[in-house]
Amino acid sequence: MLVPGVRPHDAVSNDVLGMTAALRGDGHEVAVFALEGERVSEPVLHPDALHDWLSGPDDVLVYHYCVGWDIALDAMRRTRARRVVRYHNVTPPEFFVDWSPGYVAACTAGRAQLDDFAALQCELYLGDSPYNVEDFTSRGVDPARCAVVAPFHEIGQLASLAPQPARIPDGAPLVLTVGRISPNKGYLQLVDAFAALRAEAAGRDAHLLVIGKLDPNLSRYGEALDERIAGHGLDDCVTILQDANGAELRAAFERATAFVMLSRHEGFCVPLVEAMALGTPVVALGSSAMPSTVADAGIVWENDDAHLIAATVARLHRDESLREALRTRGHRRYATAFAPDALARELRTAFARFTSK
Amino acid sequence: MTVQDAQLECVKAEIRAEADLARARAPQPRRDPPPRRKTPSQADPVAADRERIEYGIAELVGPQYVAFVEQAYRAILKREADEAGRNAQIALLANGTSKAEILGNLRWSPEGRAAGTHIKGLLPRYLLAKIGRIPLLGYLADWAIAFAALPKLMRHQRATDTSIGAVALANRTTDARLDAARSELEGRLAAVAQDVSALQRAVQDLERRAGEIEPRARRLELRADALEDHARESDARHDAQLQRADRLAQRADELTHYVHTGNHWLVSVQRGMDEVERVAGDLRDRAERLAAAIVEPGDMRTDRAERHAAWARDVAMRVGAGRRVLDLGSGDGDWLDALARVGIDATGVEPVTALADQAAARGRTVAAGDPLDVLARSADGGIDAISLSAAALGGEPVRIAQVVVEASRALAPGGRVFLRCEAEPRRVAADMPDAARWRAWFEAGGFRFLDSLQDGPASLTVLARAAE
Repeated sequence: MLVPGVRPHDAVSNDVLGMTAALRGDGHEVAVFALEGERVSEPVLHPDALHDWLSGPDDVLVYHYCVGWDIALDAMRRTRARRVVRYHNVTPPEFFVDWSPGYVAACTAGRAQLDDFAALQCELYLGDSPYNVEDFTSRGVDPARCAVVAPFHEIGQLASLAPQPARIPDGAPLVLTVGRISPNKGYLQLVDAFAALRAEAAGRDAHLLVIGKLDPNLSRYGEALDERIAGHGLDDCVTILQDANGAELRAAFERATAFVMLSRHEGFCVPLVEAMALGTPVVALGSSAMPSTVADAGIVWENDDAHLIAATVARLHRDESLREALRTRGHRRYATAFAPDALARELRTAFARFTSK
Repeated sequence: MTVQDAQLECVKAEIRAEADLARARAPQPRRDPPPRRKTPSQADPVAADRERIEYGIAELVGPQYVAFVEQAYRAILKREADEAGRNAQIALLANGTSKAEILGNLRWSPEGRAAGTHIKGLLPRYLLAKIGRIPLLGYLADWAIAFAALPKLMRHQRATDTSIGAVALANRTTDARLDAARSELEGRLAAVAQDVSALQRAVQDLERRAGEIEPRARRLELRADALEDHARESDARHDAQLQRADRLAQRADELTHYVHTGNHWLVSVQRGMDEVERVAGDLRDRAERLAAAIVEPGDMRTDRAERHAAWARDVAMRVGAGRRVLDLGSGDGDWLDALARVGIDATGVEPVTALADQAAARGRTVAAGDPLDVLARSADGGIDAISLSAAALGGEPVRIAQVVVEASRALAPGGRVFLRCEAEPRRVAADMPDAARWRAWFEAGGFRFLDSLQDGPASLTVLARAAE
């Protein structure tokens, strides 16, 4: 497993560690290579040692592609092992044009390597979602070399935590969203929708809870978000928690009326799965990979019209049977598609091409 | 679509309707910026003139030739000039028609009247131009105007001369520059031509070398294919060697495992042996304690001493003093005491250490050990008589047979055997072999029965080794 870095509570790292455990469970010897491995129990080796481990075509090198990284491209070009590109997607740079030149440069470099990896004709392109796989099939990669396995996650661990509700607001309804504070996540539109909800009688006691960190490099976007909240006069009914722990996240999912995600670009969106697994009704914008992640287990809209989102939350707030129906669908969706056993089975099927010879 | 999906679609339709109502009640402020107005540079020139109705004559007569006509159309008729109209106006200009007359023609045409553009100062100039079109009167008027304008025309002529002179000078300068540029260009063209011919020669040379290289490239390609095949074979050999190395490493691991297991087993055996020795020691101690316990004095028959005295006298009579007598199973030494009292200093052997110690305490010569071992170590024919206690030697047939064989060897020819079978101690007497069995074994081993002294259940059987 080759990845730029491994750290706790990180979506890509969780996938690396989950895949490692699943493959070991199937009897494979697996090692993780990264430039940094912080506070994880898995031993992390330096990428310089890769070629000592990969002796020939019986081995498999899995690269977790989420940023532009020349070391990985070089390693994939040189190795004699079979190559798997585990693609988590790279956010298109246009989302950051008005906010951060650094992000624009990084995302541009990251997406530029799509052509390079497609040209390598690796043995397997393993996307988190059908949406991710399209990035390679549209560049001429044979669909027979592509497969989809949803990312491994730590939802089981999250579900086992005792909820800590002390900092979770009492909203009726309580609108929850989870994810780093970034322009592609559609937070400004979410605040507009929340303002529309507050303007209605059903939403007078509503509260919006945002759980996610803001990168200092995107501070201008954070300021714009604050201005939008203040512009609607919502300072007292919007809470942003940048330092929530797992137990608080667990409590937020438990207390929320709806989990609303209006992101414009997601390669998969793990928080949607967390909401489904923990029984929170999902309302999402049908952009990028989100429709395939939610499927029929939530309410997915083709646009993020503020009144439409507000009316959906208001309906969920007053309609217990609708909430229960979405909870049931969410549990079923998680159990059949995203539970660890299901992911391990899908991964085994995808890797069967390497073991069935 | 399932029933549940259909229900969800119905709910979504209801939500859409509720959203529409909410939007009508409280529309949200617009977030998208309004379309920007075009800057003047981007503006449509016709549109710019379309709204304007006031012009000065000077700004319209300034432009020349086509620009003048197009400007006149946009300002007066509020549209672009069509091709026919543009050509007609340019033809008038070429015939010497004044700009004022052309502007007036457009302004007071039906289309110009409808547009209604006001051009300050145009009307008198247009009227003068039109007067010039009246026969004779127009000619005179032109003369009069020309005469009146003569001073101005002369100044204009002088200015024109100066201007022409300046233009001529500029033209000459330009010509000189053009000549210099042409010369430079010709020089450059010549250099380029030289470069081109050099390039052509280089290309020909390259083509020739390419022709030479091609067969070598083909040969290299063949060698590369061969190397590739060789590399593939090397890979296969390397993989096979790796597999062999893996198998050897696996065997080494297995052997290491076996050695470790053996070591572990040996340590376990050693510990087991230690434990066995410890338990054996414990058992030996317990057995000795038990043996000592079962021969408590109170447990003995009270007539034992008298019996021993009678038997000792018989032994003394049969063996005689000073003879070498070995007593096997001496117990606490009471039988040796009896023998000593009749002058026979017998040497005893007792397997129970505690009893041997008691015998030693009586002043008897008694060794602690197995009586059979002591008998087996005795020299051939080195003993005159053997006294043995059946109780001390036990009833194992094999052991009895060994005693008979060793006694036959160690006794001197004609040597005697005194076999004591006594009922003490009572607790174990039932297990004692009877005198008849011992006698039968000795007789089977070549001994001759001489006598038997009975004292109740106890007996002293006397046997003799056959003479040589």
